[in-house]
Amino acid sequence: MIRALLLRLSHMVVVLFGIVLLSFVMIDFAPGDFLSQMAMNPQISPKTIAALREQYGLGLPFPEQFGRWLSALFRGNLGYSFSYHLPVSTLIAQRIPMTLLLTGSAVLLSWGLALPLAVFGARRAGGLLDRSLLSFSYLSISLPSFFLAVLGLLLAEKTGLFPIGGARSSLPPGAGAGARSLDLLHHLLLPALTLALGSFGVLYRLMRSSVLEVLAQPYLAAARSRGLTSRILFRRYLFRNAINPLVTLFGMELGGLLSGAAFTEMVFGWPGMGRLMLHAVMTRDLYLVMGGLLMGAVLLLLGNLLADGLLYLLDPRVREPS
Amino acid sequence: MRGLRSLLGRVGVAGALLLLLGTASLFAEFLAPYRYDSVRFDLPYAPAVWPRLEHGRLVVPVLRMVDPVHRRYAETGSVLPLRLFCRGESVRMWGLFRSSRHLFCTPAPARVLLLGADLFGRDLFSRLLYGMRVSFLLSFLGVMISFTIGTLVGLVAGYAGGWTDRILMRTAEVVMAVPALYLLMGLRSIVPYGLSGLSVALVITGSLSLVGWASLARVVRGLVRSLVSRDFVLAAVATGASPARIILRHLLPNMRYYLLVAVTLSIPAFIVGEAGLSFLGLGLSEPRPSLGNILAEGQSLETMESAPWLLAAGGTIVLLVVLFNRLGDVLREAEEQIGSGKIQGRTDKNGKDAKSRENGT
Repeated sequence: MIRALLLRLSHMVVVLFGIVLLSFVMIDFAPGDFLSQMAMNPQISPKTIAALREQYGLGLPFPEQFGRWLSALFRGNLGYSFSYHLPVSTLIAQRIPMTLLLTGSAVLLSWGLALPLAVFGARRAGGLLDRSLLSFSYLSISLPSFFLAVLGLLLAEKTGLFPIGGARSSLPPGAGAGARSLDLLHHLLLPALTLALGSFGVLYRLMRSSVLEVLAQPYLAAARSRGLTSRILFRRYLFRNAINPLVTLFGMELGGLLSGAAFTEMVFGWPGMGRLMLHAVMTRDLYLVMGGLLMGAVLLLLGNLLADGLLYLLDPRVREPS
Repeated sequence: MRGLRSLLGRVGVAGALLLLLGTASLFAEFLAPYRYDSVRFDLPYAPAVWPRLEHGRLVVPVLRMVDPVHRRYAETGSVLPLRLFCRGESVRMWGLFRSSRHLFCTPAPARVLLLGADLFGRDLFSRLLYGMRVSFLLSFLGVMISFTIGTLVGLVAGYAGGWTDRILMRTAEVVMAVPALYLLMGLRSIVPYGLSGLSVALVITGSLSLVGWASLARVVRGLVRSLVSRDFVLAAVATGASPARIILRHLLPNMRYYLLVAVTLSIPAFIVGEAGLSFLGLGLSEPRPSLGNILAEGQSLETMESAPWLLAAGGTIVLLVVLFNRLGDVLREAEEQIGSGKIQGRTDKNGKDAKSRENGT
């Protein structure tokens, strides 16, 4: 067990190093550096630019530059954003809570909806509910997230029940914490719902087929013939076995918490990581782009690791050395 | 070969519809009544104008704006004939030669707008046709590139094993560990803006393929690993066949159906990827139409109110994705039937075995 974990971690370190290298190569490949724009300013003399280049080590050969960037990274320094005039790590730290709020509630919504519905649907497979949910999930898989978000906006615009974009409305100055969080929740509802609908399809289909597979197993028939109540049957036999294939997916969802909502954030004007990234790309704020990319990748890896750990805890079959 | 033909015979409605849409977009210059950049500043967000039958001939009513604030239109009462196979706006067919033949057109003050117009009075139907062509071409090209890379890497890694395998697979994992959209944005941000339409399209295709090859390489590798221990491959090795021969004659033919299915099912990702980038303003830009940038125009509250038909671009994306998914499903079913009939142990089962073995360690 310890050996497997260490092997996994060493894998992760290798992949992480690859990602760091990749993002650095991308920065290096980009034409010019962050001083090129300054160089176009007639008020700054070429001498100053040369001095700055020297100071920041921009003239150094590639391996040395990479070494410096790596050692800075170890100290938690992701570089400096030139459009916001703030350290990249500060900016990302500011945006992460909002993104997590959005994606976290979307994950809760989609899993809370899809799992019970899938168990329900699979028990009466081919029934009206099952069939309509199946075709709905086909649609949900085929709807790109940005179009779903636009449709959500359309709904908000037509019904007037939801605020259009943003995360907060201007409240009177005396508004308490309760009113403010209620306002935030109101803004959260629609983006979270569109995100959840987007992942509902995959979840429903996977859980449904998994439940169907378990339902066909002999041990379930044996348990039933022993006269176990359907409640115990469901909890101990059906659900625990059926949830297994979804654990990996759960890890992927965890990994996508930072990056999965980018389109939704942009359409709804939700102040999260995705919008930060878009702004960074638009203004060619390379260190910010690469910082975001790095954070997203780290979370993806962590999610996968966590999923494997969960699977290990849940499924004794994985624990046995094969 | 017979297997392949029966496979193609079963592509069904989805395949036929895709063929139809693809052909239509290929001949956009002829089928679209207008150029994609043909503006009419007097018809911003004009509603759909359909030809109708009057006194035994097809005519198109002339529109006039009656309320510039709310952009309301009324018919002037005059009508102009709709002509078929007529000479209309001059376009460069496939960028090669000039042609002014269109399937249908109507003289100037009137304008056939099957789906309405955008802010500049451009015909949405024409723009959707051209935009669909972008989707088709980019996704086909992208799939071809990523499949060449992915299959090659997967074959080499799976066949060679050892360190080659390890290095190649870690590289694929690096690509897969980066969130796809962020990687796309990162790649896009290192390429200067303000490039011409063609080079932007190529940059997008290249980035999409760079993102897409990794997962395929992994699957192909798994397939190869499960195939190399099979008797017919071992026999080929024993007779002294070269690795190239084994790969080309023994491994690839056994994976072709699987690859065909995988190609079909990965096209939607390319369509959505291109549309998504253009939607964000990082892809094709005005006046060139792409399903993504047309939808981006339709997402503002003002256009949702006055020109909801622009959302048809999103509908077109969904349609294409649904059709390709459906086609992939049909092909997969056919592949499983063929596979189970021909070889013992279906390919996809082996693929799954390889995958679970990997997860188990």
